[in-house]
Amino acid sequence: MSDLIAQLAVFGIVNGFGYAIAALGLTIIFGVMRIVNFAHGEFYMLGAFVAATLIATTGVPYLVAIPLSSVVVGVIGIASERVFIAPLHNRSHLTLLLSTLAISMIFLNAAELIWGSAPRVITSPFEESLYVIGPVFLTGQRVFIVAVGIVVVVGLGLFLKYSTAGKIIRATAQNPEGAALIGVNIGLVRSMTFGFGCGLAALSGALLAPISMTYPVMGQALAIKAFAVTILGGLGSLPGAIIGGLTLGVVEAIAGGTLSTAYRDLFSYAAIIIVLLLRPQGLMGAAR
Amino acid sequence: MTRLLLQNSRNSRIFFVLVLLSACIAPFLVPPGYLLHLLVMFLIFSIMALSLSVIVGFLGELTLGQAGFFATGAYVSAILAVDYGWPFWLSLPMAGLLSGVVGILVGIPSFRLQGPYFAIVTLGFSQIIGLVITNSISITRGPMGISKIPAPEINLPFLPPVVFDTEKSFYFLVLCLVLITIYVIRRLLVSRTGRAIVAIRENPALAQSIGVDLYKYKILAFFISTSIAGVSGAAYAHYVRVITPHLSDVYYTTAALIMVVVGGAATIAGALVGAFIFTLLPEALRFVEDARLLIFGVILFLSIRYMPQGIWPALLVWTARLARKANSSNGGADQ
Repeated sequence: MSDLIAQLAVFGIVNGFGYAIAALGLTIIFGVMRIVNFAHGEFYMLGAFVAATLIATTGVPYLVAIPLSSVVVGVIGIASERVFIAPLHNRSHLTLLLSTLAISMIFLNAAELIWGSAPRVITSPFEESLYVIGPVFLTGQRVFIVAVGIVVVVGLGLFLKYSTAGKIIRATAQNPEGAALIGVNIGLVRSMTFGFGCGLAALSGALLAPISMTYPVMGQALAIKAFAVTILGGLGSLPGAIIGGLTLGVVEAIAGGTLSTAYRDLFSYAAIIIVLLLRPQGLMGAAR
Repeated sequence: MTRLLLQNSRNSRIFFVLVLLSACIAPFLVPPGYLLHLLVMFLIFSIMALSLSVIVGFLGELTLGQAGFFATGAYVSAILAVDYGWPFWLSLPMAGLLSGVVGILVGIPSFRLQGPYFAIVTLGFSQIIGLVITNSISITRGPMGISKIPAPEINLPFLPPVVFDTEKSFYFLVLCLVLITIYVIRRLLVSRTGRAIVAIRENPALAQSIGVDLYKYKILAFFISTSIAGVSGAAYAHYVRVITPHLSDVYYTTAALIMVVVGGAATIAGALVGAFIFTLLPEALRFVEDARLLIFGVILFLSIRYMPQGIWPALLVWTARLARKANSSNGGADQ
């Protein structure tokens, strides 16, 4: 029993890193733009499909396809922000939310038209290796996800803390007017941040694709999980997104594996609702 | 906006009668079959869109959980009719009432939040409703859904029984439901409660300062909205006569949301116009059937970008401007 729980917990941590990367994107977008990106799941889906297409058409190895796909989807994100969000930036929350909903519908349908709705599999070279740590079995892909997750988390933290671009992003998140006063191009920062957040969603999609299926509606379930994670950790809080992601991954895996698989997805919704009711500011207590 | 409506209240009454008349004639002009079926679906979704406009339009909060209550209503009425033999005339109000009660249960925690948080939590609750429906197999038959839902019928003594099992008969039945819904929402809007709800949208702080209990009125509005959504679900169940847990999919929430936002969130006519466009538009778009969602997305964006109030209010402003122009040019000629 404890072996099973250990195995489930490790699987949960792996998934949790995937959720955390996507949620980091969501929370950065919210922090800077005050927008809940309802198209986040679709950018996650695009990440997986673009990686699959790159591998199939150009024959690049999986390791190259992942960053390439994130960059491509990031650029799509920037373009989407220019077209769908920038013209509405001084409108209400409700309007902006609806606009991201429109983006989500457009990309979901576009993906169905381009790639068809049948699931496809991305094969990763890491899938062939197997690691045994005590009672826990792990494929190389899962180890790889954790490794990338740690690199992304640390890299993102350093980027935001020390680089000029990171400081500009933080300044804009704290006080857009103040940042504009000292010469920051707010519009540009918004576009870049949106693209960056979408790129993170795509990275998560390309990473998790080999251990799950790739199909157009795959992003919808993830979007809700990413909402759950950001709310668990507090919208706009980076450490919150990481802790939230790992928590949700582990809780979901253990509860889903031991209690009820039918209600597996219930845990993310229940987590959102319970946390919002008890601690609306999120576990990490970021300002709302 | 409301002033504009009030000023033209006589005109709008004439307009309403004209629309109602054409709605009554429509099933006799439209060939029976698919087109008439679409008109029935339009009426059912009108009720759904009206339910959403109470929250999105009049209260000014974005709820993403309406499909959950649509499904609740459909399942309550179907289970009561199939398993317990309730007649439609009792199971439909019961479906509305129970959906409203579920709405209160969802509203009590959800209205402690607002804005994007409220939207996400209501989305979460509707997903939970979907999961419960899918997994409570002994009650709901799970993913297989419920079939052979009886058509509504009237059995009066000494009269032949009337069964609403054709498109035409069901059309008139739902038309009555739509009229009742419009009546209820209109009554609500002019009542103290309705004015309090609109005051909350316009300025919550001010509303609170003059003694409006925000929380109480928000939950009341949510109860009314989710009850109406439940009624539309029940009507759907007894018309299509087969239901599955897919009714709680986000798809239905999005569809209703687009109808309301594109048509005009804060007007009754807007919700109807939106429902009309979005049940009949897929027909016009048949040649691009696979790209339907994409086109809906583009329309949604264009409408919030260029007609933030919705199509219906934009039309009203436009016709008022035309009328004023006609008036002033007439006046010039007289002098």
